[in-house]
Amino acid sequence: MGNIEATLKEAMAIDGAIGVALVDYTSGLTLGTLGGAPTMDMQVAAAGNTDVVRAKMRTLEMLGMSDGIEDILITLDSQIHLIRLIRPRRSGEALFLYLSLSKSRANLGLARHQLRRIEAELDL
Amino acid sequence: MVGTTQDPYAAARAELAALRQQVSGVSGCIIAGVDGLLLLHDILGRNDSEPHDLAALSAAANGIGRTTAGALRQGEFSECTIRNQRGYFAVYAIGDLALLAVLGDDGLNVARLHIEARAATARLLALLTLAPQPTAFS
Repeated sequence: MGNIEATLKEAMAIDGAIGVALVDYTSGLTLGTLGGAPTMDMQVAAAGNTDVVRAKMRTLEMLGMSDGIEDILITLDSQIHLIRLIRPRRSGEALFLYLSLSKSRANLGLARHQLRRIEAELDL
Repeated sequence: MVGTTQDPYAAARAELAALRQQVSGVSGCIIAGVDGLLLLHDILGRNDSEPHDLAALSAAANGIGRTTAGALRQGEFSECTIRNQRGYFAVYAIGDLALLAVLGDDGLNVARLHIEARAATARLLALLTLAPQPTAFS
């Protein structure tokens, strides 16, 4: 559990971070969240973005592509939402990191780079 | 009770349909009394689940939930989720007298279901509560 907390803290340390969640997309349930309040309910964000990840996976399947998703970037008017899929370390593991950033305060390239590093270091 | 003259429960039926349409993996929903008798159902035809059976099962889940809540002094029963190898069965209390039961496949977004169903039970409680006096709505 300590590692999850550390991962979430590191993600929140990224410039412009508003909230972060580690989500199991087989159920939509979170393994942990940080930030988000008061504007964003991270549990709702996790459940909703589970549908986003699943929709993209289904689309790739329909297209007959055997490629995997590295990350999903959603740009809003005032925020950036970054979904980074976590390479499964064991069978049945299906997780993603969800990070919402303030568009005016964040550096997208740097944030993506940092999130990639955080994902590589995550060990459950 | 607000609704069409033909079906006074149209709004409640719409809630059940919305739950099935909004949450991926939901294959059907029912509303039952705590006695296990079916009130309303919204289940896809191809499903082999009999609504009356689901109503009885939801009463059984309510029973264990209520017993547990009583023994542990945790207040009123509010919900119960059963996960099996190939699916889910979730039961939510609608006030003291009715239950909302949701049948899901193994791909159910259970977190989303909890968020949507908790809001739906609050609305269903208002929809299913009979006016104590006929003057209340006229």
